[in-house]
Amino acid sequence: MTTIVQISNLTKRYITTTALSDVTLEVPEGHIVGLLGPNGSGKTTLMKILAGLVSPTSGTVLVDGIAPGVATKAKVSFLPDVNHLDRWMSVGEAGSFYADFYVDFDRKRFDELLTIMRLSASQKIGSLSRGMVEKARLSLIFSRRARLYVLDEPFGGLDPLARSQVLDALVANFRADCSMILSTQMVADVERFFDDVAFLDGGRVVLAGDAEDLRMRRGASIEEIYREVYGHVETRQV
Amino acid sequence: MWKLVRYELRGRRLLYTIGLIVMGALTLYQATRFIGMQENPAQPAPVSMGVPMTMAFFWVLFYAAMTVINIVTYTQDLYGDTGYLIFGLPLRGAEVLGSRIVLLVIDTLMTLLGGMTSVIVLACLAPGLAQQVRPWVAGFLLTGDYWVMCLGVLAVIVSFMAIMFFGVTFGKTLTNSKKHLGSVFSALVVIVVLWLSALLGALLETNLFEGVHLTLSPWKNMPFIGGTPAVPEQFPLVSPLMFVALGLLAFAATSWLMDRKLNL
Amino acid sequence: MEFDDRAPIYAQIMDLIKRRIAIGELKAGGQLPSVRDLARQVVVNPNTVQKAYLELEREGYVTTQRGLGTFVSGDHQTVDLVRQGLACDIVKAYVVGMRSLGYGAEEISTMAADEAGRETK
Repeated sequence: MTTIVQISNLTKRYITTTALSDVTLEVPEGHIVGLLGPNGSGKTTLMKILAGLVSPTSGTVLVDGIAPGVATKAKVSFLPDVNHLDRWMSVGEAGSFYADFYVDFDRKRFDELLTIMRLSASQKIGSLSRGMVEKARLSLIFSRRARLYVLDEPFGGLDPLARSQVLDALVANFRADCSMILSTQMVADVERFFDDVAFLDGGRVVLAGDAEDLRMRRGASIEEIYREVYGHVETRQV
Repeated sequence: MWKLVRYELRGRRLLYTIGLIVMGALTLYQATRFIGMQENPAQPAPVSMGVPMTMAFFWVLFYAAMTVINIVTYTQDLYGDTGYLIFGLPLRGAEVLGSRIVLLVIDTLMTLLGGMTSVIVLACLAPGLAQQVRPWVAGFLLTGDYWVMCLGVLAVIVSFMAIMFFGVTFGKTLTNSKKHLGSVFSALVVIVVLWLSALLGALLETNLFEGVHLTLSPWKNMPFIGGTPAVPEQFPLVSPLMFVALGLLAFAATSWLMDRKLNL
Repeated sequence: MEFDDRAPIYAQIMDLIKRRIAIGELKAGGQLPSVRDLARQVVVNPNTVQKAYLELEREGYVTTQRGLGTFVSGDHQTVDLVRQGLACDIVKAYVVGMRSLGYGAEEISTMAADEAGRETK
């Protein structure tokens, strides 16, 4: 089985903080990896590095065998945790933009997803509610037939129905020749989708492994393991 | 890169349309005024060249607005959320920056040609002035030196903006998301670079190119222009050339920073 | 679909399939839903469903034919065995539970017989 992501001893230092410290992680082909941890643990930085938006300080990062750059951007579909679209663009125009620059963009799937999410192509991004913007952005990201999907908090701002629609789209579009890394605060709702999980704390990987394996060995759900790892009670998000 | 240029242009459609209509309307207004004055036998004095030249001033204002929008949009992309879209595209830094430079060139050419058209049309219609100007216009338009000077001005403006883009990008790579600090840094960088280049240019002129006078005489076919401080007789070439070299350097450095040192 | 996240999901999916075989929803020789379809139904990672199917095959409950799908192996006797196996597990769990409450063997049987005899709505 090929490895889509290979990270070795990755460190990212800023002037005043160290965002990532000696992170080693592998994502095999066809796997969904859950990147878990509280805010500030380094999840977003790690994902931005994979997306080629942040440059590592030291260590190696390989996406499909090459370091992040122009070539990997064509293979990595990244969903940032903030709205990255122009407010005066319409949903349809955003789709055309993606289609223009990303060879792997599937216009037909985009239209299908818009229908499922009940979005209209003519609506301007600026006029959409937060949840609808999220759904629009997810539709864009999932319409690319990428090698690696990197999703930063894809479920934030979604009501339970939208969440299950997204999860369903996730499973429906699951392919054995691609991988996914996603971070989420809603561990309990999403943990069944993870093949592997990695817990980050203060920029370090404190625990990682196969999700089912962890369940078996610890006799606990991933959410409960999360609480053990970070040592405080997280209220379950509804 | 050209796809990006197309998108930027499309986004500017409204701005261009409004701007060109306004410029056209202003020129038309002044032109009709002049025609009116021509037909008035009581018109005493010929209109000075300065009057059509104010039209050029409006063109420059329009140009300045578009250029400011150009660099402000870039800064917003760099510091804001839309950067995740632009810098996440499978494009090299040189392409992203290049699209902005292409826009700048388009704006400059549009202003130059539009401005020239407005000024010449008005000069050829202004009472008194028209008689002075008309015989020289054809010759002027064929003055090679003039067009080379225009090219030189274009190159200098583009280089200047390249240095500004470098300043903004450099500020961002140094300070990351601390927006205001980055802008201050950028401004400082730009000022330092401009000051250094002025120094360097003066040094080169006096030390290396002494005796070698590389200048253009763009007004040689329009004898009544020039000689005034506002419109110098000769256009020096050494300083602009050196400035262009700096601009190229700034472009290369900015592209490199975008590819290797960006932290969005 | 309700799963206990504290235990491996794939094992619970295996139980789910066995149950469907036992109650006759999946007949001998019948086809299991595709990995993707079941994953969507129960809302889990398709790899987990795949793992469950592989384990079921290893234990002899199903066979996978490349390109065609996964099918319940054996005949109606296998189905009865599966049913019996699940029934035993339920009975064991019942007895253990009752014993932990302090009931003796006779009461355990009587209460079970009463409950079984009652008209089911």
